[in-house]
Amino acid sequence: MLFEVKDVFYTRMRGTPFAVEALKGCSLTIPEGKITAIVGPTQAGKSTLLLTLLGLLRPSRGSVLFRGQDIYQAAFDLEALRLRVGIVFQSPEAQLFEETVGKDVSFGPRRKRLSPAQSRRLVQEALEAVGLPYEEFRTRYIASLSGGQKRRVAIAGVLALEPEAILFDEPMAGLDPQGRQELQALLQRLKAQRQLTIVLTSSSLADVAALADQVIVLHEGRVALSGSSREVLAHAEKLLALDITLPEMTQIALGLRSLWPALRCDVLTLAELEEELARFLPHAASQKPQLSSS
Amino acid sequence: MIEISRHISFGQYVDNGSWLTRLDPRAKILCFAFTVAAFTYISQFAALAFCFVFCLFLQWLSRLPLRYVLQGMRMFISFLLVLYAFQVLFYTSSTQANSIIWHWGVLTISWEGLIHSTQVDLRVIFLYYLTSLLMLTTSLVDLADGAEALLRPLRRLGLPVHELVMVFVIALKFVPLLITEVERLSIAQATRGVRFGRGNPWQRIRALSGIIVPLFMSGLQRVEMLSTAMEARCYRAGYRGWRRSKLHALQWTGSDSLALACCLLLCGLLVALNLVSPF
Repeated sequence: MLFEVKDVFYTRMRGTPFAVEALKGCSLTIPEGKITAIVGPTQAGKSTLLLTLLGLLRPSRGSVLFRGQDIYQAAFDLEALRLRVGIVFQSPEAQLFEETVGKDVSFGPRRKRLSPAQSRRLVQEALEAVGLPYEEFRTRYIASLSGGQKRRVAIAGVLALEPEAILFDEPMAGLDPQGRQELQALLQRLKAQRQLTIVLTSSSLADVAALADQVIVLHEGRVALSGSSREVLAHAEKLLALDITLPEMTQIALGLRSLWPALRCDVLTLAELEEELARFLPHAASQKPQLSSS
Repeated sequence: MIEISRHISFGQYVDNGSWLTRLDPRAKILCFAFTVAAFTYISQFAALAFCFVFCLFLQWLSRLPLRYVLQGMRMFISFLLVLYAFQVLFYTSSTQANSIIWHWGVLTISWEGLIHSTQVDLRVIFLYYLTSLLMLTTSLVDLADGAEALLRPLRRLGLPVHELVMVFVIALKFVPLLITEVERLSIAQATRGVRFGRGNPWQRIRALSGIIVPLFMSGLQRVEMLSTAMEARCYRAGYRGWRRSKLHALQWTGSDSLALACCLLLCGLLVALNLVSPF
């Protein structure tokens, strides 16, 4: 296990009239080398959870273990943890603080006191991994980039630290469908090529169901459901009640339940939905090729 | 830990429906002005004790958690303590020679210096408390409306009252915004290996210096965004014939008159006490 969160409580703005309980007894584990999606409606405590994992917010109760070590113990080196586990915030503007792309991406390597040649290599690899040509973007001003490009620079800045895991806070928010697909492909590639552990949060299962190995559903600061995408989708009605956007196929299956109450709704792809429908429509089985071509 | 906004209450507004929040902003600003004048005038310990009681009464009226208000003053008071040390060490007056306790070069500690500096600093603390209480109990919109209504007569003298108030309000509004910005930047840097609040003072200052430049950059960007947004919503102060209508017109009620009367009475008492008090 990379992270183990045990019964964590956190109150935002503690001791002020604006105090809000963000986490209320949250317990979960994040396995190594997998993609874990933390899904929940707004105010469920997703971002707070990510910040507590990195020791950026100290929980009022409970513990967070990184490879079995309590990160809030005095002897634990938080700085080393943050260099091994990177985080990409929701809005890229929240993350970029240098003037040019090259300077921002190389901030981590410079902090690690790597030689200029090594640092340059890391920056180049990181920028190219996110699809931004090094020579073209190195000297570009951050302010002149588009939103999508800023997000990529933010990811590159984290990749340049050569982390073992990256936490993404709402990475899909505000992206167009094509941008979403590109980002999903990038995350898959990072997991496959660099054996990275990836944790991402989202308010929509539609964006992450196909991607995630493990899905954890948060509601009001507690874990409501967890398991593989399929296991979680089996509770589609409960997810709808929590205001979580479901994948299109699940929504269709859920709608068709008024006709066939026994229809399974943990379907992710069109082919699976078809197969499931074929169980109830014996005649449709023979016409299957026509359906798939649509 | 990086959670600065929790420790700074300056410029925050807490709408808890208390008697103080419901007062007309004009009454509050007038009371504030009189109290500040009285607090600035006094110097004797007996009068200062009276100020303290007065502040306790206001605190009770505001129904704000005492801990929250004190937490907000912690940073200011620690800053004031440093000033206090300087004040005492460099205090000079013709009569202090009688009461010197310790002397080295230009540095002196005298009873007179200690007493005088304590009086001055207590006054400053009370004034800071009054200012933060005014802001904690009055929304910025109310504050601006009240100030504008009170300063309206000055328009006859050609003073751009509305613009001045607007500038003042925007400046105040930027305090919490800048604090959030510092929080954001320090989190962004901490995630990439910068450690705040660690090491010797020099290392701490250096860790903070990396924040200043991006802070100014984003502050300027925000100003630009704000001015565009104001223009987009047809804000055109200074243009002849332009008048802004209000959704909530200010209304002066009996309790506002009462508050003002009580405040004037208390200020009068305070000044009188200061005159007759022997110490």
